[in-house]
Amino acid sequence: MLHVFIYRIKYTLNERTALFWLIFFPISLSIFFWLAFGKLSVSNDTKLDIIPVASVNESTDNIVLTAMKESELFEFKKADSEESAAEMLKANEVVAIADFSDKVKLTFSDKGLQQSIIKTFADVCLRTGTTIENIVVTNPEVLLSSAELFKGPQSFTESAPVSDVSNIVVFFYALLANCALMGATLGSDCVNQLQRGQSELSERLGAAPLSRIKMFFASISAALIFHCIATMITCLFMRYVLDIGFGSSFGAVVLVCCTGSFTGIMLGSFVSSLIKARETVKGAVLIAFIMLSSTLAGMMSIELKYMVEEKLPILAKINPSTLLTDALQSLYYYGISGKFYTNTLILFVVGVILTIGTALNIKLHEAE
Amino acid sequence: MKIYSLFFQVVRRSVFPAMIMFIAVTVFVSILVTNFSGQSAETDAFEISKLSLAVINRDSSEISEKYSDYLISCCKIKEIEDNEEAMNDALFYAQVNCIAIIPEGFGNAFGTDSQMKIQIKQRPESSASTMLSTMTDNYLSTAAMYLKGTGKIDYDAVLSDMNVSAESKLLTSEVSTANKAARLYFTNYLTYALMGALITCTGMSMSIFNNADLRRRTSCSAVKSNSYLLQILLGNITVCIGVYLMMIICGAVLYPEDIFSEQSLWWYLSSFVMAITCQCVAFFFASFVKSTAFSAVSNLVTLGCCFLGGVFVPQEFLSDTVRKTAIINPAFWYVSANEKIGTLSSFDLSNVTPVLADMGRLLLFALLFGSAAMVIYSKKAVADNV
Repeated sequence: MLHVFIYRIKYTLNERTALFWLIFFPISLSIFFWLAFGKLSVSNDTKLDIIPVASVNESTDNIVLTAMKESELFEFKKADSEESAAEMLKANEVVAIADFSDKVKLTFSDKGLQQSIIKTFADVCLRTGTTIENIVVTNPEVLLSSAELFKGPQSFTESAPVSDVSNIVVFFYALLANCALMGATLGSDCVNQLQRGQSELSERLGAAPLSRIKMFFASISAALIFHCIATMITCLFMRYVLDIGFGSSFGAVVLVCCTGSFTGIMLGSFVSSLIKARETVKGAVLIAFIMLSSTLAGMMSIELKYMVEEKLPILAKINPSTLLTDALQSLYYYGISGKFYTNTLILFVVGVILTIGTALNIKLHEAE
Repeated sequence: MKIYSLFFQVVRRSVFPAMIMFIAVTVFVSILVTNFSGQSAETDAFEISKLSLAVINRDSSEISEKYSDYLISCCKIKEIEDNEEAMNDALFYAQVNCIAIIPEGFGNAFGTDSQMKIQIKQRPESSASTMLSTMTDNYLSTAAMYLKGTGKIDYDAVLSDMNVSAESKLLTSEVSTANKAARLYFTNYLTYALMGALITCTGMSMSIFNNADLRRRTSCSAVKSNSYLLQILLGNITVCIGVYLMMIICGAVLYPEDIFSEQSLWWYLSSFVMAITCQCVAFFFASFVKSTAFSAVSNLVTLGCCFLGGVFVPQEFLSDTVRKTAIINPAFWYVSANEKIGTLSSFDLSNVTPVLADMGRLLLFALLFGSAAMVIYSKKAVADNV
């Protein structure tokens, strides 16, 4: 078994495809992420562009118009008529038409952030005006005594401190989960070389005195050690080159990454032992599953991850990428906690189930 | 046309499953986003819509109760326990977008100089607190004005004032706007399917036809090299059109409203131009990448172009460095064209000129990559003849 183990390590080190998928691909993707999300992580204060609005029937005593002009958020383009304003709206020269003939009437061509800002601003102006009118009707002396009343909306909220957490780490954790699951290619390779009928090598190995099960475990052990080291390289690159936070306990990160590697490798070996087809077909199926699993864990869209957790919770609980991402996320936000242990344990159990399944399949094929 | 029919046999036997993977992932993700997203029609809207939140009321005053009742009437409320772990769990597992915590003594301090503030907890990557802050500030500011102006808070009047809003209408049809965000998302996401499927298909099939022995045998045959190349090219173009039509049909099935509207037709045109560009990019990579590396190359190029082009991350959030380097990324111009089409309500020549400019850039990319591929293939053909 030691012989098989050593030569498996040598074989994997010479396998360029494996080196690409396990080291180069995740590092490249993490660089793409870092470039793509760079602006999101720098600051949460997004400077708003000035919003162009076409104005019709302007009048000097319109409080909404006065407030909008004083806010310096809007650029007004005066239109001679409603038709010319509509032309400006269709040509995308303005975001909305504001008719100030009676308070304010807004016309939009689309829903979006800028349109919502205009609507919200106008609503606040009208509400404040209505409130002041109601107050003055019952208490006219307020007009003389309380200038503070007309200050406008105040702030009654504050964000609860969540310390210096980054809002983009989830994408990197999903990528790390993808990297861990890519170990499936190693597991698949191990089984392909042992399965009967796949290649001349597998027939030669079948004639060896060592049983296929023992050869399998020796190969898998070598693949696991190699893949754990590859995952750690990616992790260290993210931590020290891209400055992605992983929380305070790096030992816990190592634990969850190794568990993820184990599950990924066993996933590949299980799928390979189950499907009786050519190597390329098995490879395509595995890559498809891994990309889908990573997508559902939030690698391409964080909203998708939360959508799956809300609408399809069972899928979230058994998806290996989601389990790994959640374990890393809980470690980052809350430190070592029950959530971290739960997710890591479920991930490990999934790996053990896949191991048993693979061993049974190999044993079954050996008996045939 | 023996080479042409042989091309499809190769595609059917060797390449079809890998191609289907990219298409299936795109369709599956689009279905998930469209059917399960509560904000599928307003993904970029700042509307004060039905937030999912929890209210922790540690105060027993009338103002805090009325404020809680107001939130219950506007939002989807979830009951959670008043402890740190339950709140963290609710946020972590996305059971709520944010949590409003009313501190003890809020009511007594309301309207005084020692005004207390309502704490809002949210997931770090969420922007839900902005909506909640707006609602809270509006309601409590109105209540504070009544308290300052009349000496007491008329809660019925506060609620009535909160219902005052500016009259607004949409210039175009509500239906086409409601589904537009989802259709735009699908159209942008086509980049992943087109690029991934076409690079994989072209690469893997061309790796078989680029086999040196096969090339030399063919050059000894009666098939002229020009005819050979032309049939291969025709095969690739047919596959390209086939993948494009498959994705368009998937889009039409997922979003049957307005499939023949002017906006949708423009999106079909931009997708077609992108399909041609992806095919030329695929042809270029097929001319020099080895067969064993194709799966890796297609994933790397596809994901890299999609991330840096604004397919997965909105273009306005890309850093300046990425935007500057995006001039070499065809996906960037494709997404830019789609976004511009999405904002147009009139498709006069003056309005669509920027869209046509982006499509022109895509065709330049196609010309560039296609020409480079032809040069490489010509050199290989000359080397074979020598």
